[in-house]
Amino acid sequence: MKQHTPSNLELPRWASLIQPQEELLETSELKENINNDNDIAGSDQEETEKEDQEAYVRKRCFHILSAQMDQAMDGVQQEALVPCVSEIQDYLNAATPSLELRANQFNKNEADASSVAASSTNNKRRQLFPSASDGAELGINVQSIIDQQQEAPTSHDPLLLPVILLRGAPFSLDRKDQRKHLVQMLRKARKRSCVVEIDNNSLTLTRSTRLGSSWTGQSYRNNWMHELVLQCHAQFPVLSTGHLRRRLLKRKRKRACIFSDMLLMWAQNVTCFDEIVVFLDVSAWCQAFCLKGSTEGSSFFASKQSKDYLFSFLVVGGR
Amino acid sequence: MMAPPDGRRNVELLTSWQSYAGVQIRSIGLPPPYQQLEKLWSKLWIEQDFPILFPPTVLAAIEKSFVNHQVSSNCTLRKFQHALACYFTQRGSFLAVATNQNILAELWQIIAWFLVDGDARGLPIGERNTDVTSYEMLQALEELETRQQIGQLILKLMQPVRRTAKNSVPALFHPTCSLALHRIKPKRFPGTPVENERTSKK
Repeated sequence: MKQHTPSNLELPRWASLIQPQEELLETSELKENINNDNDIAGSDQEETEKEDQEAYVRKRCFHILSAQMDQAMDGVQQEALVPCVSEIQDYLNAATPSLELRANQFNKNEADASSVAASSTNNKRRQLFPSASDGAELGINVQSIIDQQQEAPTSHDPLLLPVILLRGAPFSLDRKDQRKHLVQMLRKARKRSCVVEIDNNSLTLTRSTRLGSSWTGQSYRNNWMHELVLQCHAQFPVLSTGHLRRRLLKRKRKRACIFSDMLLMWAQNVTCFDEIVVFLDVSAWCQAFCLKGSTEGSSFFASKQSKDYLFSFLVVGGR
Repeated sequence: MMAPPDGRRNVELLTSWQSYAGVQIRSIGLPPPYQQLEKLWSKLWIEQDFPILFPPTVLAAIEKSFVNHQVSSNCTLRKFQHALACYFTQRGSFLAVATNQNILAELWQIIAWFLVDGDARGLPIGERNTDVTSYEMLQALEELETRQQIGQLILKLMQPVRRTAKNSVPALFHPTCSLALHRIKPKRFPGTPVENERTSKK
């Protein structure tokens, strides 16, 4: 049986509400002491509260003024880029065919399609744009690059890829900011253009390139196209995300450069864009485009890269 | 298949980049960083009346970094923000920017409390000095605002000087501008210890 000592007696519930007299006296003295301590602590607490408030005000002031500086910088950059954007727009309007020409080409294609029912879509495009497979394999024609550097195209030539070299600031952070603003402004200005920004950091490097053992143009080009396909699908989803990923993985395993086919598939299904404008780093351009053609092309771009602080290319893939 | 009425249709792409016979290139130059910095300066200190005028020593250090090291408008902006953070480490420094509209819109109640309450008034100054009246504090704030306006007037007057200058240094870093800003003595709030007088007595 359980024995109860006086200290652990189980008292009724009401008994705990009444305290003995001796204990009450002790607690009153204690309370006085505690009150005195609280007064001192309270005054200190008030002071610390004031100091905290003062520190808070200073911190908020800094944040407000810092944000004001950032906003001013953004506004300045956008204002400074307005003439560049209008210049780019003029060039793009001149480089891409007019709507009447597009309609004519469309009607011509339809007529060809009706006459030659068995011909594939690739063949149709070849009639419009004679490709390398029709004759000898063509690289980038450096002579045409040098000839037409300073002149805006007066008429659309489907054999030439319109490219804009943008000469930016020497510091990479400035260049990134400028490019970000350019992309935003161009997206607003040209709503029928699918503007894609491909940064070097966004390219997923393969294992070999990461180790630095072999930097092959093929792998780099694959990554570049991979990124382009992803961004195009992000702006106008033709396939579901899971389907797209599965397809891309499948292509990667096969190690075949069929991203262009996926891009073609996207282009055939998309209706809200007329052209694709790609912002690309000059180094990415060198790696992706100037390998198969000639060494002159790569050396030309490499010299430009080091001299004039070129930071990006604007490539228009359109009609 | 019918063509769309506006003549538009899907994007038509070539199968690969090699299909092009060449490229036609146009070169476009983007605005240089010193030009952006110049515009930033005029926007902040002339259009928006930015409340803080940095001391000439700070401006000289930032200029040195801008010209000699990176020539980057972004880095210079970060350095200005760094200087701003250093400025706000001092107790009571928020009083100097209390007249700014953005700050007043958000923090007017706390700032008013720091001006009206006796104990709180002494706290920003650094001393528990309750002798400073709210009237004196308001007068000090008014003087501070006047000083800022004079500084901004100097900066505005410096614009034509900058335009005629041949070098590409932004006006904020111009030696005449720095000298003029240096002439404006910093405002001393009532109750703060005076260091210059002590040194002059010695």
